[in-house]
Amino acid sequence: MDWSNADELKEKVHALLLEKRGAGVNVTRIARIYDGSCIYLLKPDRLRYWLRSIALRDADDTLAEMNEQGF
Amino acid sequence: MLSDNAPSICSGRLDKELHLPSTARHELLDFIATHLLPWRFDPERPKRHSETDLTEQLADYLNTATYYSDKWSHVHFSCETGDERNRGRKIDLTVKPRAAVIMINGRRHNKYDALFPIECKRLPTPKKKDRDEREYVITEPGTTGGIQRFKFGHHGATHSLAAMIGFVQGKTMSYWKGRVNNWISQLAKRPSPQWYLSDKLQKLQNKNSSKLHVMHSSHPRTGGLDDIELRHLWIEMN
Repeated sequence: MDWSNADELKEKVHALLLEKRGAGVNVTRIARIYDGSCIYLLKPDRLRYWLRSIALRDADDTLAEMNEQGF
Repeated sequence: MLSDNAPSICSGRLDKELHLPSTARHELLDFIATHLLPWRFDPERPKRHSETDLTEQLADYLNTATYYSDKWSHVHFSCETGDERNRGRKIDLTVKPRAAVIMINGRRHNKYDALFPIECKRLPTPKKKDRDEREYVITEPGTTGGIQRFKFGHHGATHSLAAMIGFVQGKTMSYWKGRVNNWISQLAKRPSPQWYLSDKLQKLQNKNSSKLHVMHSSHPRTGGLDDIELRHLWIEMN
């Protein structure tokens, strides 16, 4: 995987995932990108997004989407 | 509330070839195949010869094997279950989820749903005046031939994969493969045939031994049904 221009990519990912609604509401999105034989999970680098319990939920959501894709 | 609508984004697709259709069921068939010889030579197994006795014994053995399996403890085998579409017809052996829901090709299977049906046949067919020696393939008149019932959708109409287990009780497996394929060839020669040379059994590489043969065949179906693949597991019982 080519990680060149990672800083530029980081800005784009932030723009994609983080949204400010009004004065006091920040929305953080989780993205799952399916690309050939790879699945990318894009989430903030905070521990609460990467707990084992969250990984189980991620797995459920991923399986549901794979099911929709016909797998 | 905003927190009830977890904002998530998904994009793109996985390669269609990444996970071939029926992979899990083929692996389950391999599991069955690897247990046929241990079942055949189980010293505790009472010696029986009838198809129903052998099928029941095999189901008992496989259920014990799945119970202790790390990989297949979520399935179990049942004898003489009704076909999903033709309830009056009985399937010799079916495999169903146990305390699990299994998704295959987008279809949900719970404990009442067969993952695939299995038909068991003896070779040779017992000699009786009302029985067709070609019973593994076809019965005429009738619709209870082994391959025939799947090919024409009498059994397994809702499935694209099924299996047949052959209990070889006389002659060799090579002999029976020749006979079975010859019967199919003869059927394909008839005027307006419903059978084709492509219905013949074909060997699977590296799956055979002197007492166990694994073959497969593929059959187009009419009436809007998908093609069906049959996996043939033959075990020598002599």
